Amino acid sequence: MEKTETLKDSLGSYVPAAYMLPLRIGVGWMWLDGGLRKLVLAPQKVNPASASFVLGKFVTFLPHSGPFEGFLKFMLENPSLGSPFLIVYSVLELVVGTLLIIGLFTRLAGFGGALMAASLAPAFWLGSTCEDEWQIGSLLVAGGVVLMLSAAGRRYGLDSYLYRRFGDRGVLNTKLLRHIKLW
Amino acid sequence: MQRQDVIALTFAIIVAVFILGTGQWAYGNLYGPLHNYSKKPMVDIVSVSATNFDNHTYLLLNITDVNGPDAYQTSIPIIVVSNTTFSLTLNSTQIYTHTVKIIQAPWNLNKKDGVSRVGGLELWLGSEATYTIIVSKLQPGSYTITLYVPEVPAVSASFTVSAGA
Repeated sequence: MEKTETLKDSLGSYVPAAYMLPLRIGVGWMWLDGGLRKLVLAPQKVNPASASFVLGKFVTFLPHSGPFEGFLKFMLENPSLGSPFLIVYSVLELVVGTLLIIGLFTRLAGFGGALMAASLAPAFWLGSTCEDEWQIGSLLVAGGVVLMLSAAGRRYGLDSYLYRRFGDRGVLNTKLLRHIKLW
Repeated sequence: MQRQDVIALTFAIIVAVFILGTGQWAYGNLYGPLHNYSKKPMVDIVSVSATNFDNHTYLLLNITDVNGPDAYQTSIPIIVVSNTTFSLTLNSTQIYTHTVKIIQAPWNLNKKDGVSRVGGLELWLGSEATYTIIVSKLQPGSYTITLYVPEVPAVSASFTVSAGA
């Protein structure tokens, strides 16, 4: 019988890596959905000439933007400047979401997802958004960190092939970076 | 303590600090006071002025909405212009009829402020606009304009109609 990939904790108990699959699917789909909506299902959202242009929502951040007010107004008055950023961000959402779901470079994707979620933090306080935005962002940060730390893609993910073929590989073979695994 | 424990605790602290910090920062949900600016609108009168022309007074009302939901507009269905001897009330239909021009702030990208028969003046959170509203000619003097917004206290500002025009 094939040995199950496990996460061993300090007490010697084992957590099957397969248990990370629901988290991979959940967090991954949240990111994939963000990119899918903007780039595929409603591409007018990234069109600065459209009334649906997502960055138009920046206006709702203005009342509590403090020192960022000038920057936000500049972006609102020059929407064509924000469009490339929005497209790149949406592509990243698609990539991170897809990688997490298929379990490829899961740790890197988890790290990227956590950073992207943390980057949304200004929306928590710049806008007078309801607490839901904070809850979603916080859970995506925590989920991304867990997926980054665990070898979540080594079971039911393409990382399992990479692990079997190449073993544990650090990002770079330096004192610090070799501890950060690629998959 | 094993290496994985150190890593787990380190990242747990980072995540906890992020969550608790942003929660307190944005909503005061760690030790209070709780605040959530998305619940009720807060209309702010940026400026108001009046000019008499022919037999009418042109009110220039620059307003913005600084709190409230971001998904739908704030309505101002009643406007009252008054002083000690005079009072004029405009309901939403009259506001719609008497509004002749709306100048959007340049940052109102796709959230345009407007006016409707039902809601009166309608503002998006964060957007700003100058409404030109024509009313019957006001006599020279000082006036107060009061905007009534459902669920929140009315907001007022003073303006003067000069004798010159």
